[in-house]
Amino acid sequence: MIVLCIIMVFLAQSLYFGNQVVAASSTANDDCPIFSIKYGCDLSAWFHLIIDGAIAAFLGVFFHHLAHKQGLRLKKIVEEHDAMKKRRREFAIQSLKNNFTSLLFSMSLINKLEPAYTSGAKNTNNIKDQINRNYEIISRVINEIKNTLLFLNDVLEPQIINDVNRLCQTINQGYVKDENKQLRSNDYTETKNKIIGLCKSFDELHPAVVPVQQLFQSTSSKSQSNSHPQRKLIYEEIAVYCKRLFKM
Amino acid sequence: MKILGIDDNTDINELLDTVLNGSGHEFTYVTNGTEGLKLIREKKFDIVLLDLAMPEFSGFDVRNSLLKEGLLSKQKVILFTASSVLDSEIEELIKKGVNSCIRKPVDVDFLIEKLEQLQI
Repeated sequence: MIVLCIIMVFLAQSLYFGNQVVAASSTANDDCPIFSIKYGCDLSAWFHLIIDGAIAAFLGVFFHHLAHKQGLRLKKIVEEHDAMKKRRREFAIQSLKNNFTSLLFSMSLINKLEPAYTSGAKNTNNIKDQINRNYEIISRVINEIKNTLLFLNDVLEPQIINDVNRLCQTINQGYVKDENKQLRSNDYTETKNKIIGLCKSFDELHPAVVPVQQLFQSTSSKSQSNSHPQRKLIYEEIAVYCKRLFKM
Repeated sequence: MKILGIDDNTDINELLDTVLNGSGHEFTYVTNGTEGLKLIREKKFDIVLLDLAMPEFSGFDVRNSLLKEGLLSKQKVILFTASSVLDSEIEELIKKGVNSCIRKPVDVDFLIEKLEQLQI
């Protein structure tokens, strides 16, 4: 189509300039009617208008076609970008919620183990080890949350980023050992309520609009024909991308 | 109670292992859907805690495979997910054989309570 347009414009222009060149070398006379194209006749104003109009029309159609095609391409890019953004947002929220679950579980375990440890029950060393392991998990999970916020901040609302940062700070300050190596933990219920409140604001600010099944459609297709490289799960790609970024 | 956890998050699996085994249940976990499906075929579980968002073989795939093989009704399947699942989707999944859905994050005590309620 584009090639055809170019050829037509080229022909029209050749005709136009060719006539002008031929006509310019001669003098006009009364034997030349308005629409005559022949040797010795100059182009009339009407014929100029018609040829110019035709060229304009050709160019108009041609550029319109190009713009339309470009528009479609841009629309497709924007749609793909939006879909990717939705998936990245879903991934960010899922990561954060998973991390919050780990935090709640670890904090709850510490809370249950602490009284046994402080009361000097049997197997104190074992309890201490378990508590320390949970502290390590909390510390690692907080780092993971910070990394998620850092690398996926473009898809999360600033308010959420602030709230999550504040929560991490509170947990970090609370779940540390003091100078005497005595365990001092946050109020579990308060932190739990903060986390649940935060998740509610997640759902309010980023409501689920796309059915999850749709987000994982590529998963299903992959499981049916897992040899197709183009069907590589986007969720997996994002995870690999983020892991790579975290390692940097 | 024999519980199988299918979740790609190792931290959650390990913590659930401590919590559930500590509270008198027998908890086993795998980190992907394929292994989970294999284990369900081999052993009998009372409850399967199934995560939805897993690479390669998602929770949906596990559910679909269980349905195809007629294994879905042999144990209670509970979705344990951080995905923003729509209420309509949960209703649909419950109609199609899933017993319940627990959204992450969740309190340990609530989870145990919910599991024990389902077992009754």
